[in-house]
Amino acid sequence: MPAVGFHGNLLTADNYHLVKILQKQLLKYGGAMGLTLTRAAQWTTSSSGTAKLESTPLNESLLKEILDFVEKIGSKSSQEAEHVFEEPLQWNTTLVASHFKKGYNTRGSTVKSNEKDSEGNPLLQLSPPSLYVRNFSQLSKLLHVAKDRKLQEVQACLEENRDPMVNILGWNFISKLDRTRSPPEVPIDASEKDVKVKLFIMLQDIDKKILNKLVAEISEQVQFNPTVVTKEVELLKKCCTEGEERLLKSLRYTSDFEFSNGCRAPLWRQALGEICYLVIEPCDGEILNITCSSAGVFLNAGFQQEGDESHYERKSDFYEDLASLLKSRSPHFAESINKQVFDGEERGRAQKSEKQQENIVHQWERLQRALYGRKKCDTCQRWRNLGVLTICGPAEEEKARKSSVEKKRPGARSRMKAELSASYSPGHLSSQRTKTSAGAVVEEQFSESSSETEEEEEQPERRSETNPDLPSEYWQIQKLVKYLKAADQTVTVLVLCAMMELDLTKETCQLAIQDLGGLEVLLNLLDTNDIRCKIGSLKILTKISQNVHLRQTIVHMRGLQRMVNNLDSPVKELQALAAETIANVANDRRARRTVRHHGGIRKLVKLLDCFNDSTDLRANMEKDLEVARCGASALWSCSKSSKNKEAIRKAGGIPLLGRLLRSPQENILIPVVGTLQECASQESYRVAIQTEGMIEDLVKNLRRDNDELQMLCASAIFKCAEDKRTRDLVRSYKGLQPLVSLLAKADNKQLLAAATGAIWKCSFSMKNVAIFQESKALQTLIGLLTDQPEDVLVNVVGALGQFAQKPANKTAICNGGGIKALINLLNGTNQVYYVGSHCSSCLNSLLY
Amino acid sequence: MTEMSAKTRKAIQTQAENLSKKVEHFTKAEIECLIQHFNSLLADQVSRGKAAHGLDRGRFRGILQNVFGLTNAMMMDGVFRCFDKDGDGTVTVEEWIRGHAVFLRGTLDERMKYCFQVYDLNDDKYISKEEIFHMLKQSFIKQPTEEDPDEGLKEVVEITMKTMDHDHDSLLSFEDFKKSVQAENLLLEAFGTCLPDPMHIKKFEQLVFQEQHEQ
Repeated sequence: MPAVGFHGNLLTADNYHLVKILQKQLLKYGGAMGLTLTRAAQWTTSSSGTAKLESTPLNESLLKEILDFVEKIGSKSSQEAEHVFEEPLQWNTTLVASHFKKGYNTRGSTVKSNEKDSEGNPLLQLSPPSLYVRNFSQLSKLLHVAKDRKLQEVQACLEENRDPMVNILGWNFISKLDRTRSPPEVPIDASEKDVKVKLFIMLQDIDKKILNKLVAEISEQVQFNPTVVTKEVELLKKCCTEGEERLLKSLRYTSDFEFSNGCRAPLWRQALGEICYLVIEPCDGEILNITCSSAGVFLNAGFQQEGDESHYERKSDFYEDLASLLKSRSPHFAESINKQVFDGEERGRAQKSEKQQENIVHQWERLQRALYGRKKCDTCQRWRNLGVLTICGPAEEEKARKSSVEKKRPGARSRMKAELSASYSPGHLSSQRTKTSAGAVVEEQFSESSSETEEEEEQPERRSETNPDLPSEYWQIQKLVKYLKAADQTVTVLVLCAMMELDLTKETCQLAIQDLGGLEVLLNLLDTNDIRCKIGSLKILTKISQNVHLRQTIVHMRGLQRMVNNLDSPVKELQALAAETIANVANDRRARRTVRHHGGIRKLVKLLDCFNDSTDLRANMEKDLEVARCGASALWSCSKSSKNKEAIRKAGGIPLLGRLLRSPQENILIPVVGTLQECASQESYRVAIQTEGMIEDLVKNLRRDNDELQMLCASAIFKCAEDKRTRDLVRSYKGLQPLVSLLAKADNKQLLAAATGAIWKCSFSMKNVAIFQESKALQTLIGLLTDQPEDVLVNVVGALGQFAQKPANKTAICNGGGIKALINLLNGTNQVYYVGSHCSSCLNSLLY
Repeated sequence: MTEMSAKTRKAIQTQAENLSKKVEHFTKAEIECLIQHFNSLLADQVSRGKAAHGLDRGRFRGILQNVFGLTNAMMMDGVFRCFDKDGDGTVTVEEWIRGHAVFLRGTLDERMKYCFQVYDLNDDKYISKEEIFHMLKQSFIKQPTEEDPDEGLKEVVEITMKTMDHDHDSLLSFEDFKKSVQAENLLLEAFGTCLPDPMHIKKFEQLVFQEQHEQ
């Protein structure tokens, strides 16, 4: 270990840390005997890394203090000085017999003191090179003898007697004292005990004194200096990004002016050790006014009034760095920073653009390590070793990919917002599809507007490095794929069945099937004539296509064409499975285009037509409905692309969807309404929904007790109710009341956004506003002005603006605390522009 | 179709009347068609010099192959065994129609029983690993590089046994088989194709039952 030691002016992390430790220890010193001379000695030696004490100014002053103490105690010649040590202090001295004169008995090279203890042993004995000393008085005399070599002797003594307290007072005494914290009940005579206790207290006193002095000295040298602060602030600034992974909302200095020494605090405050002041807005909680000073980081009173000195006042404890202050103040920060260390690692494998993020995290760690000697959290490596890192749900992948997309195009976000407000498209709630509406819209945006090359760039690169600890499934799959390649149709089906027995929802399995060539075989099977092989293959494909990587590979391998080809198979089961797989794969935007290009939309629309053979048996009807359900699911996924919306309409999908909308089965209704509300972003669909009487069915389904269905219906009404006649229809079918009752499900934000959106659009008709009021919608809406996601807020504010057209409502909004909430929304620095603009127009209608 | 005398016609109708009471899934008219079809098949056989009251194994296999698209010899033998209930080496008209009831229109239960019977080569009510291995022997392209060319197939048999043998006695009883098929319908024809696929069924029904309409 290198000797770091106290190299005076050198600012090292260790020093800084030690000062903190010392301060803490001193603070609790009081009655707790936390520190002893022993510790002080140990501390110096251990910090030097070897048994030697470094010759540094600090150690020197420590030695001087001890020397002073010994000399003083000796000169007092009190009881304490005469107290005989339990064990002699023994060290190798540089002194020789010739140094000892009066009061010593010299014989050859050995020296004995004339003073002896009760048993006649000399209190000092020198048998070169060893020296034994048995009381303070002798020690003091010895130092007197040593003259200018005093310091060396003390140093040697401390180096060789690492536990002087034990030598002096005896182990028994020390341990008793430590344990009981009261004068010990040791079977020794009272006067001796008295002396020991006195001595002990004396030693402790000097110990404390020395340490205090040392701390003061160290603190002078080691400071929380401007460079450290600047570095940390810069790192934190990088974390004030947009998006889900941001740690802080904002962070700024109070002053842009930086003095040449790197400080930003006014000069008279710099004199007090203050470096700069920060205003940090965490994601949760109020704004933090922070002072960075040489003593540490703390909260100040805030800078409301210029020239008021009181705002410099310290309002919190000292923290050792900004991060620890933020961690204690913002649970979000504490949680996210830990998560980011992990997430960053995890995403790095898939995302090129995530590298940046990862770098930040690494820099962060490096800085922290450098500054504060922290240990890097090694969970990531451990996770990687366990092979868990490759197991990551499709949802997360999707999320990660999405965020990378957002990051790539800074302008995309605002465009997306605009689109979102106009065409809110809730995602599928079912377990297989966790994509959010935002994601869908973003994807759509790019599918229509971005060029091929850009898309190529966005392809996440999956690391295919082989993991040494592959799960057993991997080898199983390897074997099965091998058999698959060597088998006829009968054994193929058996092998496929064996594959289905595996947990295909696990990403390890999904990726193994892809990496080991299984996906290719499965897709090739779709080209064969064997129905059972195709069914078996599709049963596996529907499951593994929930993985975003596999979807892309399927598109690359021309898998969609083969699935589309099977859509018009006479075997219903095959049709249904093919459609269901397409529904998964078409979550990938290029897949949507491929489906259209191969005539898939037309075929899928045909699947919806299950009303042809009215004479069919009941069992067949069920099969037909299942086919229709899968077809509708596939269309739902495909309908996220506007060209596909058009294609569905051209293929005659709208009336078929309208007929299915009357189905009593929720599992069919969900994809049907999902498709309709997705397509309702287009004028032609809105007209058709109105004219073909679908509003009545949508309203009817609003009343079903199924959150997803309700959300989709509300969302469809939201999009259609821009039209006056549609609004009136919603009212005449008594759909307004159910919309208001949906507001009670405030926990489901997607549902809430759809319901508030529908209320907003419906409230464009004053007759509707009157009915909403009967249902006490106004009060509920005012209550929703706080703590809601943006898409809910926009709708609520919009609706209130409509309500406020009635003078009576103005007062109701004012009295209900609406104004205050609206103004708060305007003030919130984080609110997106359009929430603000809605707010101001709403306030306008309130005021005028 | 050859000209039929009124007498033959009458006989067929009576036969159909009787059979329609014994066999499910077919209407009387459909049975009449099947009888006529059977008779024409039989006539072909007789004209080649073999007088018989039913279809023999060779002729039967030929029909399975040409009409129903079955190819595996072992499976065709199994199908013949199932059709030929009395085990006399020929399939009579009644056996033919009974067999076709399952073949063309059987419920899942009936088809499970039928397939199990086909796969139970030695008719001991159990399908053993050896039987499975025997049935699948031709199904696997042997890798010449492998030390044991049958290793892959053995493994597949093991895996399949593991998933299907619910009572863990290393034998597939009908109960095991039924449970497995109900859980995964693809396992119905687990050890070889022994049922015609929907396309062949459709074609056959068109061929046989439309003759009726034409008449």
